[in-house]
Amino acid sequence: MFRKSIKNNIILSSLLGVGIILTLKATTANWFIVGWLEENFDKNLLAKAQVLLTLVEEDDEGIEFNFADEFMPEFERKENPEYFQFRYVSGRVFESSNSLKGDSMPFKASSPGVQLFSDVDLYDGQKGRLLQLNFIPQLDEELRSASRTASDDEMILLISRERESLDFLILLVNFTLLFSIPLVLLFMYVAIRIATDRGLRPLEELKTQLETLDVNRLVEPIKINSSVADMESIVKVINQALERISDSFRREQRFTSDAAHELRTPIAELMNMAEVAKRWPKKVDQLEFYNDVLKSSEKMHLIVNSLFELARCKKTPLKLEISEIGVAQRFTENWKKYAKQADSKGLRFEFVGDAAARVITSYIEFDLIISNLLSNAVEYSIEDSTISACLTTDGELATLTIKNYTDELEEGDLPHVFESLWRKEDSRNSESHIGMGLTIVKAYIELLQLDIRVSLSDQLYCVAVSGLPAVNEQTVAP
Amino acid sequence: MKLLIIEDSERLRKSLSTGFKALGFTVDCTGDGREGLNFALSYAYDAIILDIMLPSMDGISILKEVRDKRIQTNILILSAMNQLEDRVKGLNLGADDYLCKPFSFDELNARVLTLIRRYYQLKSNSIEIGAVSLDIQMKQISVNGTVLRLTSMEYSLVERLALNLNRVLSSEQLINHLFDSCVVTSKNAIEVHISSTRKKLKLAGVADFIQTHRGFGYVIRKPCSENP
Repeated sequence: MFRKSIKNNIILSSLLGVGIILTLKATTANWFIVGWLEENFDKNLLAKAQVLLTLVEEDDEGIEFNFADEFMPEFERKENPEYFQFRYVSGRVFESSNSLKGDSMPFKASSPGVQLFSDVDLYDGQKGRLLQLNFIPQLDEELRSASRTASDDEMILLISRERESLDFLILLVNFTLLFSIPLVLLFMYVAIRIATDRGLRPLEELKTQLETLDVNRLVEPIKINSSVADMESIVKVINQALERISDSFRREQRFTSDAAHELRTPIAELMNMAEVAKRWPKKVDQLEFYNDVLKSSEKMHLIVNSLFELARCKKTPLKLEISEIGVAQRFTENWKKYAKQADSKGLRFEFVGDAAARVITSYIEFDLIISNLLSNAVEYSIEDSTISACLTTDGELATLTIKNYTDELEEGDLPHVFESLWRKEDSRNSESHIGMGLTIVKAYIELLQLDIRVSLSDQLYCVAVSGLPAVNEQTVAP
Repeated sequence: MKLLIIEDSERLRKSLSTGFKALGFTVDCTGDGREGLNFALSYAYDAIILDIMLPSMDGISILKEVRDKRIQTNILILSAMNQLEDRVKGLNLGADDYLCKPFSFDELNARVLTLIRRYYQLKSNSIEIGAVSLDIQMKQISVNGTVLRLTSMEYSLVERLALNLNRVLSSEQLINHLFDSCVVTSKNAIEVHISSTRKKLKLAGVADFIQTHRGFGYVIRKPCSENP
């Protein structure tokens, strides 16, 4: 069964195209060759007729026919003879070839100089060609005068010969042309197949490599040995795509591994605390034990909540409730959550700029962004420093900037701060931060179609959220 | 037997320490990598339980440093990193065992005992010296089948000497091994424990089990009939 494929398509369309061209060419060639053969056959017959005409002459004694058998034996031979007959216009036979054996040849009414060719059945049963030529016999030179005109004694020459040899030749030509088409098509099929096989070899190689692609080794680039210019760009694009898939896969794997890692330690804590307390209850301080169990559970709760939060904001479509939000007010409200921790570190907070400035965005997500950014700022700020926030407006869009001083980050850490579960310290033992805050912020930023950038200069860490639709007198909340 | 636990999770460290102490082990603990390395290089331990992700110095670096110093103490890596390559890397760098979190305390204890048995070339948890039999898993000593009532310190003292059969251990070596490294103890404490243990053994019918080498320390010798 014919299967749709590039190779089959190329073969089929090529054969179809070549087949049509060949058929047209063969038909035309046949028409020309057959026409040429018939024309030459008739010319030969005419030439012979004209030779016979030169042998008819009129003189004082009447019309004479000076024919000699030995010079034209074809009219005398027994096998495959030719025929001629001279008639007067009245129909009376003037002279006939011996091959006719007294039979008469058919003729039609015509005019002098007109050549009438027709197919006839010859007297020996063969198919033949007949030429009828009306003429006026030539006069002897001495009798020629102005008074004597050409129409006086009009005669008819009928000459015929077999045409089966011609028909056989035409048949041969037809067969040759007819059979050459499938032969050429067969040859073309083999040639195109070999060419497409060779041409598609890089594709086959690519297919084999893609089929045997190991999901754990996507980073290894595909290499086509029989590479051609057309394939290089395809292979390049595929390798780029594989690199992106591999990166994403690696990130997912790392995230899963990190998430599992984050959960394993508190689970191990709970398991071992419970085992030891169960086995040696007297050696464990009950209050301390419950406290530790609570802390481990809270840590697990934080991890699981962060993972759920991340999954929630990555889920699309998430229904957003857009409204006008007073930025300074949201900062004031959120600061209250971290005020105790901030006080213990001697941190201050200030909102710089228009305290009445408002933006149009989704309340819940925007509030979570502020909360997470403030939480990070409080956690990592240097003691006795100031955390500042400001909103600057440029036309219809506003940029929110949060600045704090920190000695825990370096320039090289900045590309990682949005990575899931990334933490500066190797031990990953912080109780309140698990490295998900900025990942969640980034997810919300993408959800709200905003932009976020971080920078660090002389311990001043700056997070800028841009693209916030600002409220001005002309703007109306939807 | 003395253990060093280097684990940054305070709660896990505390519960492991409580559990192993209850089992009769002497335990040093720390949550800091560099401090852990100092402990490992300064004192002799029967086994070290080592976390990988640690503040100030990671567990792999500690492992390398300890092996570079040709310290042959059993090291069991305890980590939340459970990928095959992590385990292979840890074992290739010289760790004796690798246990992934979360784990059961009993499993950890069994693995630690296995490492210790392997280190002292013991075929089972039992050490037979004449009429005296020590069970290093149950942490008990019996004489002719009768279990002696020994304190944890007395048992540890006999166990230490029994594991180092025919080797004289000084009071300092015994102090280093039987007490937490942060505890300051005098030789008298060892003498007191030796004395009380001898009395209990004598009552059970075994005299002169722990011998004193004046000026050197203490030793338990294999009875002549058991010597090859």
